Amino acid sequence: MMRRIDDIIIRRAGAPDMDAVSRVIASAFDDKIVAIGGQKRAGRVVPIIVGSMRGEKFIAVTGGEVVGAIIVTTEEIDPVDGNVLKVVKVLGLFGALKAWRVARSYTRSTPKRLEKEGVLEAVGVMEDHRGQGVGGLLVRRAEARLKNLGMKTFGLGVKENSEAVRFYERLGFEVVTKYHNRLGDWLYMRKRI
Amino acid sequence: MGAKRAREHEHELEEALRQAERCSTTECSFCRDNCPSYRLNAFESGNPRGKNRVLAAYSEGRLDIEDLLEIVLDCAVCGQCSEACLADAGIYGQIPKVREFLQREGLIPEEMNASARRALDDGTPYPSKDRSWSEGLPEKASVGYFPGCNVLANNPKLAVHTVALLEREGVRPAAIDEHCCGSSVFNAGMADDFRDNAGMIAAEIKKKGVKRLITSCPGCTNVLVNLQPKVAKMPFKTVHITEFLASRKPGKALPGDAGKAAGGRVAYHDPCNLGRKLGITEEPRKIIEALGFELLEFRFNRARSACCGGGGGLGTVHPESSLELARDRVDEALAMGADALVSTCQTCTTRFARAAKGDIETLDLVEMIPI
Repeated sequence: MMRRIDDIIIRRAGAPDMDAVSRVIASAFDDKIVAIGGQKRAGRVVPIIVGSMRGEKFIAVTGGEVVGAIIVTTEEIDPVDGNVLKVVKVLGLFGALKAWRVARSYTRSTPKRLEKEGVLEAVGVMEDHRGQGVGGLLVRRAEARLKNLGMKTFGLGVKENSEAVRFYERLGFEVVTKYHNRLGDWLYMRKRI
Repeated sequence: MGAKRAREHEHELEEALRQAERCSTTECSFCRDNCPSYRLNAFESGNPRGKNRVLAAYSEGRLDIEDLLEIVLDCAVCGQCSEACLADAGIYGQIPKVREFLQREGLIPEEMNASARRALDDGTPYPSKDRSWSEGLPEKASVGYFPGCNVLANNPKLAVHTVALLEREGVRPAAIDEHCCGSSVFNAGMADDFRDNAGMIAAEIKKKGVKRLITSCPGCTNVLVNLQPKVAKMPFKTVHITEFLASRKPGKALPGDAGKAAGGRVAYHDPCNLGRKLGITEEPRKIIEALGFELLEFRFNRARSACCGGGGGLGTVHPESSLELARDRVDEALAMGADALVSTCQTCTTRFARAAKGDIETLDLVEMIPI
């Protein structure tokens, strides 16, 4: 039965929700589960990955069931112009110098995020609940949180020519640049918040 | 597990945790850009940053060793993650140790073990080895030539051609081809067998009086220069053929000097083992330019070159997927307008030829040098 969007509650994910968050995010990568070693192994590995992802996590709940999840981050540590003291503390002075050298010389494919830019790391909606506006609700909730945290822009990377591009355009994101990595051609989209 | 092995294991797990901590300090994800494993498995666990997290979870007892299987075997051991890492936490350095854990637990796939056993028993991981190339070469000489199993299995003419070039330069080498370098043994995590095999190679080379060993295969060269000296005494100097040819005395033209070759536009692919692990990047370019070709550069090149898909046993475990990686390189060469895709590694060129399906000529650089 098709649920109405009013039935969906979006709330912050707590520690007890991590398994559900993992399940939902994994559902967005269903075609990759074989590469992780099948459903059983993915059931153990994916929660480790999702649990270790830093950032703000929200879930969409309906009828007591978690049907969607989103993870956004607000911080990226860059040894060139980021939190130098933190880098030195963990890597030591020599390690930090090496990090600085690599960061200076490396041309990364992914566009560098702006100062005070939140970035969408992952979003997923369970297959039975797609096409009902759940993803939009999650993105808007994450956007509101980013704004409260003082972020000025919201950015994300999306595969070029994918249906998701239209989805993000409807939510107010605009393509700012194209980039390429070993996964193919990508668009970086951004909106002011 | 013996007490000593248990202590080593504990130490290795602690290092994995420290590495994951360093990795999470920056969370830069530079390693993801060019990772062949991430290209095949676009989930976070497919890239070096995610692999670090999974390995740390295993070290903390939150995952079983079987959970590491795909993560470790999907790695081409190409080393680009270490090259790009801000935090000295590339997963590349951890993979051989974890493969040893998997080998001890009997979890390495049979196709990898079979390849390693052939290398140990037959002196080649391939079904056959053409040794006719060495007919007429001296039993003993101060210079030896080690073509490598891949060359002898897939392109034995390259060995004959290389010997002809060496002879033209006044070098008549002894043939060194009894044993495989043991790369597939190392990749399968068979540490003890790898050590024994290194000792046998050292004995063969010593018996033939070789002080300077010239190689064709970058994979073998990396094993001989970087890996075997850690487990056995290797009392000789190893030189890749491109280093040898590019180091001819000033004024003495390279074999097949400029103008004699056909010209054309050549995209040069740096093999991971040669460019990244041995730092040999300029010598092949010097030869290409001396031959009169226009050199075209890939976006990811030299020490940051992209893997052809054949490293670390990836081609054995995932033959189809590894060809996708080779095809990426072929497509980039075609997009640059190259007439030929050239490398100095038989693993790379064989893979490129299969992926190209005739769309572009694929060659070993040494084959391009006229006798």
